Amino acid sequence: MIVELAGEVRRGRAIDARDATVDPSGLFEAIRTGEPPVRSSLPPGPVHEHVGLVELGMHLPLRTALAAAARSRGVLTEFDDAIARLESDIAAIDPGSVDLGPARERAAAAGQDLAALRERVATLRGHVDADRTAGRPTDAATADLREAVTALSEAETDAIAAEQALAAAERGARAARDDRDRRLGLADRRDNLVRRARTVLAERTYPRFRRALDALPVEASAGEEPADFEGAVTAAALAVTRIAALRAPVVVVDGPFSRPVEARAALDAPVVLV
Amino acid sequence: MLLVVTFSTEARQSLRNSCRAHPAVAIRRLGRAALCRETELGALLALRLRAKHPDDVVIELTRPLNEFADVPERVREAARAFEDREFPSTSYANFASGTAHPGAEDLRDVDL
Repeated sequence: MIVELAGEVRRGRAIDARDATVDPSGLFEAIRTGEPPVRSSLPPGPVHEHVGLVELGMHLPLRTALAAAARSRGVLTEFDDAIARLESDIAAIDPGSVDLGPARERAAAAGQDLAALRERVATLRGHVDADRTAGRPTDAATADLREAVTALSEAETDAIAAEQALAAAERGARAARDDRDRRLGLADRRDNLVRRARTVLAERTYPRFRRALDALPVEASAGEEPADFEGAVTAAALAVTRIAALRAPVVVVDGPFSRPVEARAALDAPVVLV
Repeated sequence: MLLVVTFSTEARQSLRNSCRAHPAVAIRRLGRAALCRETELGALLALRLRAKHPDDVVIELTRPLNEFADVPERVREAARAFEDREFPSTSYANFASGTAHPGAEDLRDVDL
């Protein structure tokens, strides 16, 4: 990695940044994105997300990190073929997008026009009745009424057409939804297998993790399985770093190493001490 | 009620989060679907979910089925009689044939 700190360009796989004022998370992000103060760095893999920044108070999902470490070394599981098949089945589904909003809006507008016209017809009928009762000529009012009734009839036809168009669009959308349904089912099966793969990877990597913990200048007790781990989260993170194949550097804040080369050797990964 | 149905893992998770945040709105949580109160808040949450996941959210307006108002007697009768049939393994087709009960073909394309 090449990084600029305290006005100085530093390069290598074991960098000491303890003399510079560095924001550890900022440096971690810069390593991940390749942005300043990092000038160049190998891109991080998935395990880096979990152990790329080792500091007090950090969160580490141990099983997930162990599985990621195993994957970084190319470890396979009996679930991988099935997972790959499901991924390709999922990718093959192309449901198509159906926007029913405009059809719904047209149907609603047609319905509203209808309601307004019905009201108008009722009102005009009232005018005709009023004129008749009062003995006034009804011609004008009747003409108005006739016009309104015609408009109403047209609006009823339009409303039916809009409703039918909406219903047809709904039916059309159903096929796309069937595809999405199928895809959801496949995604659930895939996620299930990914979880099972993660579990076996974590279990099978655990002995290696336990040996790594023993080799590091940290206090922790590994036990037989991930649930048994007792100790500082940072200790676990350092052990995961040691067993993973990391390309991008790990930022270690206030770690148990006095010199960067010592950290680099112990962690078997590029490292920046902060 | 509003029935909200999701069609992707992301939409399903958003629905779960929404129901958790507004427990008074979600009457029945059904995993990838939920029955919600037919209120403006219910509609807001449903529409917002659909805006967030276009194509992966369906919103229906439902009402309880009143079989006495909404369903013809011949259908109600057939349902009762079929449930009371002598042999559980009898299919509806076999059960109805030779009786006055309507066959499935007679009912299939008739809207309620």
